[in-house]
Amino acid sequence: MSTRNRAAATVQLGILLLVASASLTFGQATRLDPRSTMHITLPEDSPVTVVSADWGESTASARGGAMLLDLHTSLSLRNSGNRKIRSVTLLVQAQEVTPGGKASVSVPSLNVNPGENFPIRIDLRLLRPLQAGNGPLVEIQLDGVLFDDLSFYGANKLNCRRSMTVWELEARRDRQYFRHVLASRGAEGLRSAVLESMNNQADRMQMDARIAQSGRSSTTRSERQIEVAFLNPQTSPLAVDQGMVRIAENEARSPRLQIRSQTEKPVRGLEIGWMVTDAKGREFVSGGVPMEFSLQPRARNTLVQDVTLRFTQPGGSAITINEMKAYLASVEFADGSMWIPPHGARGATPSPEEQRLTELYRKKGIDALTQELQRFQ
Amino acid sequence: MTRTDNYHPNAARLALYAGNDCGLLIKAQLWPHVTRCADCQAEIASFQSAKAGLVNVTSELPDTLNWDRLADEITANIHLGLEAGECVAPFRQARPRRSTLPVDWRAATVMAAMLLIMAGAWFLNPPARRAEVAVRTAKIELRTTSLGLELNENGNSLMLMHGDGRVSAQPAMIVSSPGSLRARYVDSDTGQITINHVYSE
Repeated sequence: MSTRNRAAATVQLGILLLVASASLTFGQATRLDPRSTMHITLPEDSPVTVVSADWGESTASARGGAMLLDLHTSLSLRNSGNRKIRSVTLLVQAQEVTPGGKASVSVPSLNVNPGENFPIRIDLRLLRPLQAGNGPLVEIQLDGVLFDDLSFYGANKLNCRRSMTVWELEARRDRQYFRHVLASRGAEGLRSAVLESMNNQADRMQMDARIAQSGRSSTTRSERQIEVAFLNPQTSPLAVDQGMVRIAENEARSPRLQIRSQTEKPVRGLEIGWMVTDAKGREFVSGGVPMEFSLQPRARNTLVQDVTLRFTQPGGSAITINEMKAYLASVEFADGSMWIPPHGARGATPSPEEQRLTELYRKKGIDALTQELQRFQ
Repeated sequence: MTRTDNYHPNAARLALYAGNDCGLLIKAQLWPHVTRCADCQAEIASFQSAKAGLVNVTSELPDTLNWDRLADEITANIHLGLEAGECVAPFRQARPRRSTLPVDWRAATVMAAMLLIMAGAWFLNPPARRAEVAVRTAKIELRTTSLGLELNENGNSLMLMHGDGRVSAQPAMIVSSPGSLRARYVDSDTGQITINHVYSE
């Protein structure tokens, strides 16, 4: 072999070794046993039990100085109680990876009879340092179960009871709406209603705003005070007589709403969402946060949030606020019952059930949707 | 011209004039009058003779004066003064030298006490723990990606994915609330609506 050929062979071998070592360092995925990394805990008196867990293709791969874990599991749970289950929320925690944060996976709009099994998928991706402890990385606990009579079981660490009750009420409302359309206008009417809903959902996705909240608000020179319009459905138990907020660029400071009760039931909590319009007239919607707010029947009170709300687009660019509107997302009464806006109310995000039913129509057609509406009756 | 005349200088001035103790200006003022006024000249002469008599009287030592005794008394007074000075001197002289030492010890004692207090506070460590919590809280980030919702803390992350990572037919609907992000999607396998939720607080 000539010197030239030997040099070429050496270079080729070097490249091969480099590629091999790179593949070992980056992206070489190894099968992972999620049982050693994922731990599921259910209380002894839990109305649901784990029947099986399909761990699927869970993998671990090195990414530089970090480890990337893809954990996919499909849990098969059984309704071991004697009531029909409507909704389940699982708390997901990774104390070694993100000790300050929490996550949850909820599945609403269920219709699980006692003794029946139902699946819940959990798909996680963890990025953590290579050196880590030996204990399970992910802890999964049952946070709550909502039954068809709106009774609740669970630790409720994430205040999921309220969310699940709202989702169930919204699901009943929207199924009722579509059933009414089917009964009054037939299958074609239902098809039109579903298409209209799909358009609304597409519009809502374009109006997505990120909202962040910081502590006490401070006054700056550039801020101005504007009036907050209130989107008030006719059936709303609460009305807002006046609303004011201080605006500075993409920040809304210390929103103040004078709320009047229009109902005979005392109120103990509410959830207010926000719509903002920028200088170009584009509308953006954000969700709200449930707040404790006591209001006696037919009484008035002022709701003041001494906070700064910061609005940005999903990409991170600021939304310069020109106008601001508030909408009532839900009201919680002292007796535990709740009010939700009617179907199609302005500002309110389409419900999870509406999203599920329209997706069912998109995949399986109008007949499958009709059958699904009848299944819940 | 008499002594009561307003033009006569007063007795004090004349006395000074007689002793040549007044200034040149006053002397020049008085000289024309004195040279012409016999009364004032007589007055001046009487002052001068009185002064001369006083000098004579004070220049003569008393007959009873014992020079040896006076010398002893003076010597004794000088010794007494020196001894008294020596008694006082150590405080005066040693003050700057001795005072530096105690002050240094006091400063060192204060410094040592402060160090002890600071070391104790560092070991008890409440401030450091508070700072750690504050930093950790501030570094939690919630964000959306095409795959799911991500909770990022100090470079480590937990992501709840919209399904198994495949591009789903229907994108997830995101609802943002202060302190949390929520994503809703319909699972392609089960047909169930699934709601992922990440919280920073």
